[in-house]
Amino acid sequence: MRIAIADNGIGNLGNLANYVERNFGAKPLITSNPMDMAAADLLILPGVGNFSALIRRIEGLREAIERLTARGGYVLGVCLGMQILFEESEEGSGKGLGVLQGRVVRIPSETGLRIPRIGWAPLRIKNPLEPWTRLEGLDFYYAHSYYAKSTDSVVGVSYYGSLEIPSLVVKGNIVATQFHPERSGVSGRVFAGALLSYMRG
Amino acid sequence: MVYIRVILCLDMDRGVVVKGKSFRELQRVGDPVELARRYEAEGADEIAVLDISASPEDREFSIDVLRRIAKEISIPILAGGGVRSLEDAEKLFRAGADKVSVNTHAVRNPKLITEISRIYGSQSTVIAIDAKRSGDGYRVFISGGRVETPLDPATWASRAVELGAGEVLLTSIDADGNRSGYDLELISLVSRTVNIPIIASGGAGSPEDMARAVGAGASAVLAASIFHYEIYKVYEVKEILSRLGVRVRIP
Repeated sequence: MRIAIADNGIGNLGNLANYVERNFGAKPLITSNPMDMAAADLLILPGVGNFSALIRRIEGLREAIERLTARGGYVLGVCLGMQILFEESEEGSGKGLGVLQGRVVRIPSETGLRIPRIGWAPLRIKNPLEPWTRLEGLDFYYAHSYYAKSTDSVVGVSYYGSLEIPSLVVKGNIVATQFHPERSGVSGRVFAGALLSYMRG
Repeated sequence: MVYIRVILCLDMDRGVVVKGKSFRELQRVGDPVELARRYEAEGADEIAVLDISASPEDREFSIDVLRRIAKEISIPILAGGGVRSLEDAEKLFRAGADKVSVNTHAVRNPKLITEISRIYGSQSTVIAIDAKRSGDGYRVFISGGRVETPLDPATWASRAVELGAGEVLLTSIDADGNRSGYDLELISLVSRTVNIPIIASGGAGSPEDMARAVGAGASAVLAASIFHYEIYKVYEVKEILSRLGVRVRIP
């Protein structure tokens, strides 16, 4: 399996690369070349940084995703990598890739909740699609101030106070997580297994 | 909700884990990679790797140890100690830190907070504050607790938030290593002032102490001695916390 990680240019991709090697049995290619991305079986959009900076840095990403999914390849967006798949964001200048429908908004401060939201929370499966049901109740690690306000293909959610946060989105060949599977201990391993079986169909 | 985190702290001095009292009398505890692995297995939610002698001795953080820890564990890592510049922070992120804390050099050059958070996001930018009682209030200390500043911790924390910090690692120097409880007044003072998560640090002696810190406003509790000296296992602490009504992750 060819796995590519989109290079965000800020050099914190080691943990993601380790996670891929350990759980997918393949050494990922870290690349900012859209040709390499389009040629992968699984393209991972990493999870740290700033919305508009990440979009700007990876030029040609939308085309790469279109070509990749047309060939039957898969995309995994993690945290910020999930958020850039949506249409727009309140963070930075805002235009997203528009692969998923919805807006990325800041966690409202009037809730009295501390922002950013940092820590572990259980995933609740809202749409019982296989193989994702095996993630029901598992704890994953989150670190974010913005979230995707969307009803587009939400499979799992988590809560912050009474705020429901879309946390696992699956739409055809696009899989996106607000949590960090690569930092979620054993749950991360279960997630990798589910993603692999989803990709095998 | 997110669970209250129990963070295991590895204070590093030249590649080995040490522990002291009120930042002094350092004793060698053990091998960082081995300890990190053990604490993850016991149910720690996060590991803090703090190079405590980097700033006072004007050295850089020992990157190699961090890299080895990050390779071995799959829970979040907070790293700090001696971070003077964006480039220093970058090195820690590259080596596997999920969050980087700044302390001494953020006091000397507050722009540092903004520089890091603009690139890595505020959720990855931690302001570490070492505070000590002074008169009827508190003062921020830097350089591993050796240098007093005129700053008061709550004011400095809220300034750091404006500059882009996303979490406070709040250590009481008075309570550090004494296992007689966190400084609840300090936690409450800072948690009332800022709206970002606060990691309570310094003084953990029991799960009850941790529950009190949460009551005072902490989102996470950091401890070292009670785990290094095997007074408690991480899962024992979490069982008790959970009985005390604190929602924690039981892996």
